[in-house]
Amino acid sequence: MHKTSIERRTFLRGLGVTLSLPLLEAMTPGHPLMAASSNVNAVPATPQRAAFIFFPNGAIMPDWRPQGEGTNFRLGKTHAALKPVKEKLTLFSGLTQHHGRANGDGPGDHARNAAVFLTGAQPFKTDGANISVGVSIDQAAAAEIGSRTRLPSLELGTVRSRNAGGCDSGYSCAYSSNISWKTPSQPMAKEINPKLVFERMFGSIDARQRAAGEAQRNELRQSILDLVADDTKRLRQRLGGTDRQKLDEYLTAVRELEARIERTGESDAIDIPEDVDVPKGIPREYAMHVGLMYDLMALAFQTDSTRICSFMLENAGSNRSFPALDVRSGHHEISHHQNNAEKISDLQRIDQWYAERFAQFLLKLDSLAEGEGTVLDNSMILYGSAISDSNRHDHHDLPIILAGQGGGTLRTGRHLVYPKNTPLNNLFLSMTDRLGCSLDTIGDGKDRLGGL
Amino acid sequence: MATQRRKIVGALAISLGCASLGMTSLGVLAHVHAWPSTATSGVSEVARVFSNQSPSSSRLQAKRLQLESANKVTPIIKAHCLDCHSGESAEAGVDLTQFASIDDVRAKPRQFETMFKLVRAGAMPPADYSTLSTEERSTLTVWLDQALDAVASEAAPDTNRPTLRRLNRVEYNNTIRDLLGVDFSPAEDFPSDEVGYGFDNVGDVLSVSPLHLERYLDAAERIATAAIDIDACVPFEREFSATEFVSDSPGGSVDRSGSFHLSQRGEVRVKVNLPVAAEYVIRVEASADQAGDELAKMEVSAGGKSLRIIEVEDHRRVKEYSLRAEFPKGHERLTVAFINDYYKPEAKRRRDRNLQVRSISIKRVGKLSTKELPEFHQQLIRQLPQKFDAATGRILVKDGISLEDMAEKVLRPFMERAFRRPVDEREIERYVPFTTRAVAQGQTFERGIQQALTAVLVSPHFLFHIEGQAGTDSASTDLASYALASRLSYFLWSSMPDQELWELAATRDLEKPEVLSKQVKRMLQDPKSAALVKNFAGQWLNLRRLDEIAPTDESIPGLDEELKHAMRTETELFFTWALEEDWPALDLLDARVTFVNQRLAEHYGIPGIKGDAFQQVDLSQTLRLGLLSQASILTITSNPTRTSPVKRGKWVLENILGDAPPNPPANVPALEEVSQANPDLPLREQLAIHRQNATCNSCHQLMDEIGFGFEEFGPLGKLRSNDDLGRVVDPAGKLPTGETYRGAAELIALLKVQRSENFVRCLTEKLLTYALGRGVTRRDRATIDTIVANAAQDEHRLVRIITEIVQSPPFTQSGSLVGAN
Repeated sequence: MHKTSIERRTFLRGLGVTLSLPLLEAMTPGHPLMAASSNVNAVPATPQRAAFIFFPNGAIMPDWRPQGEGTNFRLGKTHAALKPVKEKLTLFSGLTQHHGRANGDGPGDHARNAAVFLTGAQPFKTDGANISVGVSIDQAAAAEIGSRTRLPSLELGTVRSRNAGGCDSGYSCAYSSNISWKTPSQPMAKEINPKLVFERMFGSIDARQRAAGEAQRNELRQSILDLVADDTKRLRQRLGGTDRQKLDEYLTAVRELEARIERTGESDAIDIPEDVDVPKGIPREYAMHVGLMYDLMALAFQTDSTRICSFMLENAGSNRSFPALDVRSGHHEISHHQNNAEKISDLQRIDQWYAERFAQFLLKLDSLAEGEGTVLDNSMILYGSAISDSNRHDHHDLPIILAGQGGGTLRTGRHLVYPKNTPLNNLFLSMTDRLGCSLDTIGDGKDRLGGL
Repeated sequence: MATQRRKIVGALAISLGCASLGMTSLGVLAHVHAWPSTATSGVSEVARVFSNQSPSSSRLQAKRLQLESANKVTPIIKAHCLDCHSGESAEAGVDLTQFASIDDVRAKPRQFETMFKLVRAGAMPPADYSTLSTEERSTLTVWLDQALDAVASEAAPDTNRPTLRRLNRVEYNNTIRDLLGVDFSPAEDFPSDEVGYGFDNVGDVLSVSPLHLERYLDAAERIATAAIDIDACVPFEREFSATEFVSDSPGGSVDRSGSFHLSQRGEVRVKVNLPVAAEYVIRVEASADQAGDELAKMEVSAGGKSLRIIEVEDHRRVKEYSLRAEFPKGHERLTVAFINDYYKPEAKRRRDRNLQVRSISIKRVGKLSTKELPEFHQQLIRQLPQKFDAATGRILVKDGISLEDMAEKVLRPFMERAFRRPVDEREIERYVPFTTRAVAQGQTFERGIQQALTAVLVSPHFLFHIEGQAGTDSASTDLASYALASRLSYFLWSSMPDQELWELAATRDLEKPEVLSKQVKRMLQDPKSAALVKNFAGQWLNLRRLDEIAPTDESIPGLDEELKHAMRTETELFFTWALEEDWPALDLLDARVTFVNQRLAEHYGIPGIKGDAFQQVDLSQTLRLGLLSQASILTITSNPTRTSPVKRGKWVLENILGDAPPNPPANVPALEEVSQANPDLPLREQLAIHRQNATCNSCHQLMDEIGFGFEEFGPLGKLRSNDDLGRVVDPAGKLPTGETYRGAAELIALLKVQRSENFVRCLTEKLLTYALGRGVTRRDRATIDTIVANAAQDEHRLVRIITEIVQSPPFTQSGSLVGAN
């Protein structure tokens, strides 16, 4: 974490926030602190988590692909930074998101890249009406196990959705700005402000100062939510079709918030690790912003605030330039590299830059002790994109890495090669099994991925 | 009422022609259609205007198309399409072997819509395969267009009501501002609003996630806290003992009796945070050692300003001294100073004068300065004047009126405004208990109102545009007019209706076209109409995308926040000015006037402009004119370091000509081969090679040949004669229709003359999309035809177009419909 503000930490202490060992450490059976946490019953001894991290515009695959197969492989040039955690990685070749392809819908590979990434479903081509894709794997998992943590899931990003005009070839911007879909028609809005992510997990400073009145406030919030839920139900009876769908979204949100407030009431003070600083807002510098979001994801897992997280490093088709890498042109612009050596080199450096941020995140998770191992050992962090070759916008042989050992259920340190067109969603199903979910299918995923 | 409406709508839906894209018959300009003229008959008359030509004529039309397809269209398709589009391996899965009639269009309207666009754009059939004669192409496209229209108008009646939508972030902020007079932007922290059809007020894509609801509740609590100043209703008193004093006076200290002893000139200070502006009493407990020929004096000051000089009486006896003063809300520094020290060691007695201060206290004693309370709090007091006790700041519950009645009296007007419609007894009763419960728990009445406010602000009736729709508890009240008032105010102000609109809705006068038209004029003159510029123009012209550019300072050379802001301001001021002056829409394209400040003037090379303020400048001596050469638009259509004629051309097609080119095939191998072979060619030549491929050519010809016209302007819209590679720029192009031009001015002149109707229709479509909060489809074609035709009487002036939209059936009727039972 960026240790920039001692006063803030002191301030947190002053607020009476319980500073203790990380929660999970404290929850190891037999640990003296275990009894202190009232929520323990619902939580298995070593919770498993999953994160899904998306990068835009595909990759330079020759530098991405590992050389060799099975345990005997070398990381590609792009992944040099991942070497220290190589033994905790599984790299994949051959996985496909078939519904990222046009399949008769014409152009729009970027919109489909994001829309299909975690859903494995064909987005309905529309600029608005009848928007629909599929439930994403993170949300399907959250629906099953989300109630075990304060937040069922966390959706992170670094940029807002585009706020004017179109995004990609007749697809609504909702498709290219979201990877998490709660229902086929409802994206989960992502949070881009680190400060607000922190407050979602631990409450705002205001709220903490009023901690004394918190119980009363929660009671009031409950009665407000009761009332508006009731209003909504009355209203719903008189409406039909998509209107009803909109009110259902609202009603679901009300119920989830109610459940959340209830859980807050049940649990004791939230433990925040000692070296954590409260983020101030959105950093100007992209590297810092990405780093902070990763830190917050680590913090979320460490404190068991949630076990499911998605993170869009950028919106699909992002045209961000990387002055720090001396890449002045936009990412999307150069991704159509047309085999121009200079552009390929620029793109590869962007890929590598992203991989370095990812590596730092993994090292952080691996430094957090938990039970016999580390937080990383008890996690499954998927990193990738539903476009492989940047120039061709292919949706097969995708760049996919799974980091972490799923609590010892994954034999890591391997490069696994699957037949072309193996659904990426099969891997998702294998992951959610390990989270304790019981999903039969998701999107085009009907089977489990063998050989993990 | 409900049944009657549904019937009307049925007729209307059939009658509405369709088209989301140009190609209208020019003949329509000759006809002038009238929207309804009186309020009461309004709905049905509109229906009549539209249905007169309707079901029968559309059947006739279908019949005619049927004949034509056999005679003219099928042969063209047979000759030019079937080689690729037949059988199981048909290209793109489009099999045209069985094509025979309009029935095929009816079966697969989407496929034929795509076909229509591709053929019209010249993208199909590929030129290397076969060339359609101009006549054949025209026959085919006109037929497809009309067939699609006919099919669309046969479709099941559509209630035409857009999907229920929530307030977006801008609307939320503005509504809160107008509802409560609270001036902050609570929606700043809300998640992004998704964009559909280019705008962020389209219900189809505005969803409510759990994160939204968390933010709504947080915001509602903050807003309610800001709207009612609870602190003002709580007694305030603060006492400081000597140990709490701050003093840097020499020889000062707390003595054994607990007083602060000042033996020399000096002072003690305390700091206090006053909750409200009001009159306070300050009490000072003090005693003195008297000496010399006058009494010890102390000066009481606040914030360095003297309030009073007090003589301390008696010798060594603590007495209380008090004074009253008005204070504003906030931090105040209170000082008690000893000002007349006296020391004469040689004197026999009374040789040393000292001051002892034991305590300082401050207490609010009344006369709350209500003017400094939040606006809503003031209203609250005004609504219940006889019950307000200015001394305590409290609204008191007195005999003869129940707490419930008081709460209702306050909540009714608030809820009506928040829900943008009348509310009935039963609805209010559901919110009253927040107040009674609070009071029962020993909290203030105001606190209870605060809680009810919070609940109102997370109610779906506030958060969604439900105004006139079914499901309100007031089933007997006709709410159509209120819905119309809301639609109007959210269109032009991105906010709730004001009092005048409310009253016109109550009398239903608002439904009269002449009243609507008068209101449009009034509303556009109101400063709140800045929202139309910011939100409509900001999205139509994609100005908001400037926010996406250059997240860090150095990523685009030459662009910084200041310049970006100036670019955006220029276009906003330009559009504002056009609205104020009520320009003919076409003048937006070639007006020789704009607005610059020093930064932008330097960017443009316009001399003599100083300072940050924007001023109007004449452009007749420059190469710039109209919207299209403004830096904002030229920048958002460029890549970070170089121009993109493709993007610029595409932008003009999409946003000015309403003629979005078909999107490129996902993966054109030819393109790759071209660049592989010639990786270092300049863009224009690469494009030229790229366009040797017929498929690419058909679209790129449209885009590039427009985009080239702006090559005189660099990636940030700066005038240039050489491009980034140092080559002399070549701003010449040839439109698909054959005209050639050189430079932006000639191109724009061509567009204005040749494509004027496309532009007016495009602008109308965009405005209609924004006004209705839904995508415009073929079924809106007749509406757009009529709007454009009517506005033509007035040279397509902007206010006239807006007025026509507001008077059009989709606008006046949608939302007043009773939804599915």
